[in-house]
Amino acid sequence: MAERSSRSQSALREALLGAYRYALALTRDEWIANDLLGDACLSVLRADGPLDTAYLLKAVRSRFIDHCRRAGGERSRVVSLNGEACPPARPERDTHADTDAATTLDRALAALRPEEREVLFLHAVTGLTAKQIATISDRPRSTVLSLLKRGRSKVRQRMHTTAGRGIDHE
Amino acid sequence: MNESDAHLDDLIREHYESRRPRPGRLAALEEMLVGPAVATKTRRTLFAGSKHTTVLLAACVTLSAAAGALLALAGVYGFGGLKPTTEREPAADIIAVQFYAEWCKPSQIVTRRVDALQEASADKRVLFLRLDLTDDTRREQAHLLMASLGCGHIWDTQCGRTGELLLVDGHARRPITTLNQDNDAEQMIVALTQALAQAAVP
Repeated sequence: MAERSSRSQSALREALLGAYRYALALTRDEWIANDLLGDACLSVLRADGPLDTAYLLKAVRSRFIDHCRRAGGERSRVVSLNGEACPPARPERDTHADTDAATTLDRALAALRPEEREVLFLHAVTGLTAKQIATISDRPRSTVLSLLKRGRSKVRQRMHTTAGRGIDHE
Repeated sequence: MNESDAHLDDLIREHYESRRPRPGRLAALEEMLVGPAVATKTRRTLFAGSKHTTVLLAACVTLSAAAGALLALAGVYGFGGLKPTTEREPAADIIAVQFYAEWCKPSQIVTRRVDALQEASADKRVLFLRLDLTDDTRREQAHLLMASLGCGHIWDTQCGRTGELLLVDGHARRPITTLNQDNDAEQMIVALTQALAQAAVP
């Protein structure tokens, strides 16, 4: 009994961590990601939904769309997720000093559109298939595959460019 | 998927797996969702205002904490000193918690409407609470006050977002609705009336 309880607790923790990282991938802002996660958990409670990863991810996604709706009227339209205007991500520092791999990848991901980052995250981090991502994000599978390919290509291109600039700078 | 894609996916996975929420955040959310003991306590008993919840909350709000909260309230509202009384005062049906910060423009808009709301609901048992989150010190004080009122779980989920007015069931200590600058004074009054109707009777 105790073992099962500890296993379910660790599963819940993993699900929450996954949901937080998903929120981070969508928003690119730690504070907003924390808020989204809190709101998502509250909505799960209100709806008495299951405490599994898929449900939490969907809840985070819905809260993010709400967040975009709220922010859309006040901020500039940058890109859309399900047709909603999304607030711009926090501007990244543009110094040539940080050319290590993590920073380069971070910037490359920041340059993606939210839907591309979302699909890349769900595939690479959560390990979902294109079909599962299509279900979660209400998109056709072909669109998911296309976003995945385009996202990867952009990240790779950006990383090569930054690495080249780093070498030039030295 | 070719080798290059797999390598890129590994990099992305490592990148995100190194990111974690604020310290204590996960534990707070876990507790909110399933309670301290997963096997014995369901989410429903923790959040739906059941007998267990009431007992739990009553145990949490100790006499000393309540006295501290009243003193803090006196400080926030400037009551000019609370008069000692031997009669037991009735509890508030609704606690209207406003999350305020000096630098937050929506907070200032909401403040004007809350003032109007307070005047309009003078005959109702509503406790208006303005939490000042302007800086870390005041934020910490606000957190302590919420915990003392038995609303620590609400603080954890609300995350101290400024510019919001949260209507909390005064008996079950559960959030009923959240209002913000998008709601005008009339909508706030309607929301408060509905919240009063929803509030659990002790």
